[in-house]
Amino acid sequence: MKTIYKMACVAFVLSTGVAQAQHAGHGDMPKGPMAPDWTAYPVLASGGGFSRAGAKFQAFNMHAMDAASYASFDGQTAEDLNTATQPLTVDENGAVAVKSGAKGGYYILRVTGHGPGGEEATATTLKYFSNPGPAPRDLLNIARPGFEIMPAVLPREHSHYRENETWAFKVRMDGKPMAGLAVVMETSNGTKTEYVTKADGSVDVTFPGDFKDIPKDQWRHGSPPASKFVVAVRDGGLLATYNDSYNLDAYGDKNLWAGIGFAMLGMIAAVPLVRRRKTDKKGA
Amino acid sequence: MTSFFTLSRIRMSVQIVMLVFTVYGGALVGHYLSDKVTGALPALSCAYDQQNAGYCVLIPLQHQLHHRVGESIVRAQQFSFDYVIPLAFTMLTFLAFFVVLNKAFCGWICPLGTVQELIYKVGRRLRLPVRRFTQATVGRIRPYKWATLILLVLVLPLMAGLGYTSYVTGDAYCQVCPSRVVTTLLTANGEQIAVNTADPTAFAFSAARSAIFGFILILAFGMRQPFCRVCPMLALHAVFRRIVPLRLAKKETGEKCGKCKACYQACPMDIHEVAFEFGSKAFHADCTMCGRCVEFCPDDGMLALKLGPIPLFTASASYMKARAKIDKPDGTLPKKKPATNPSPAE
Repeated sequence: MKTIYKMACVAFVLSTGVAQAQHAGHGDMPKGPMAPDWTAYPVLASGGGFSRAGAKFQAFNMHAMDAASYASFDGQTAEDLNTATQPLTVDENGAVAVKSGAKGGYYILRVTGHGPGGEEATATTLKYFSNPGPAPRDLLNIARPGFEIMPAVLPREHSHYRENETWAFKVRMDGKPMAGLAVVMETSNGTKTEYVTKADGSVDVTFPGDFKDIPKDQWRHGSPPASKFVVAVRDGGLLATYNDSYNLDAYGDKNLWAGIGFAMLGMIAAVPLVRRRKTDKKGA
Repeated sequence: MTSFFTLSRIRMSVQIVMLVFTVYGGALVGHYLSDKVTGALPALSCAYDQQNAGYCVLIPLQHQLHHRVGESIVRAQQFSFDYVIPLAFTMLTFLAFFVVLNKAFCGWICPLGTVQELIYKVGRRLRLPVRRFTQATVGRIRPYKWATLILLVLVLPLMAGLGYTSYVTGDAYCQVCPSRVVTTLLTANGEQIAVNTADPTAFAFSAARSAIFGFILILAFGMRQPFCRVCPMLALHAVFRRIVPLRLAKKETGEKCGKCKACYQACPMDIHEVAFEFGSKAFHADCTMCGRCVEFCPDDGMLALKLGPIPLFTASASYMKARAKIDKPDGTLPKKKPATNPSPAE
């Protein structure tokens, strides 16, 4: 029992050292919307006030006129979509609030209006409220009216898009796939890449490895803050965007070889316990 | 039952199926959280495995203590039942599964248990020596599972939520769990064996995780179920084991019992009580309900796996005789008999 007590003391002392510094930012609400200086495409940025019951957003780089949220649902019919759709009000500054009513799952926020060039613009983003809710499969795949670019599949809950990963997006017009359109990806780290949609309207986008050297005092919970991205597609006078965030590379704050080294240390420590001894031979 | 369809072979078949299901089952049930069979499985099916079919209950337990209970108290400076409702639902879901199989989740379902058992079988094929703990050592090790449960699963996550310990300790047990490494490596993902270099606490925990994984991997060649002995899931199961109808049952008395100790030798957890105690005392907190003790018991009806009053598998001398031809109670393979020439008379 003494050993257990010592183990408990060591674990506690070890973990308290950096606790306060790490904990200081945890749970803080975003202070307010910040205008993006990294893209001219329409984006929907967090406008603060996030809780399990709802979140506020701010439309930038567009004259926002209408908005709607779509809660995740199970179903394939227009009626299912209607049930999941909630018309929202956009104020004169482009601010809009999504209400989850403490119901969980994913919510798509879509804001329509005019883009920077006067084109008909549709900006979309997605919010996950961490309460139980349906998978977003039907939410992503159902035919919605209008021109849109949407993720084909999302990172699983509590996971993220990450640097150097490739994810599929789909471009659709009234639910029909749009082939051969140029898709532009821009990130808040300054990278711009272009892709072209395939015959099924999909496009595989690789998140660039462009995380900059962010000072450690800006890191939270052992990771640098997420960076922003937008994927945008044009078709004539129509513009559709989807924006979200992505994180550091899977191994960006990890060392695989050190991990293998520690595993080998563990293996070496176990060898004396399993190797053959003289007494084994005598016993045999 | 023929000698081929032994309980051990049936169990291993179930274990292999469940290993595939818990590690790769996301391909079958779906990718998202709501697709999973459950988020409160009473086995170490790791959420860091992005392809799994269900999550281990210890994950929501730690996260809810961290984010819902601890942080909510800090924010509101008060305690409310709202904070513990998700925790209550997690435990109810856990119990809904647990009430079906009891501690058999350890012996039949847990992917880490299966991997350790498979490695032990390889050790027997390689004729490596078998290592067993003495009764005294087993007695010293047993409290560690309770310490792991209380400290790593309950106290440190709550302390993290209250702001007293590092954020990393919000899922302190997951930080060191070898199943996190084993199950992700089985999906060709090396991320969880890598050491986190972001801060000293994360480094210490991830280095410990990798070292524990390596230690268990080698130890399992010579020792049965080395990690299970300190696993917090074993302790959590132990709390509720008496309320479930499926259980290991032993007669209240028996004159012959306690002499051959075959059940004790067969027990992968080195539970001596199964040989020397009677009645409910034989169903120890460390039991994983693998059923090996019942298989190797030569005393008809002395031990049984029972569902309430219904015996599902009962000890019998004839079964044990046939069973012992496959392997010895400790899993050692029987020595091959030298080939003999048929006698001329035949």
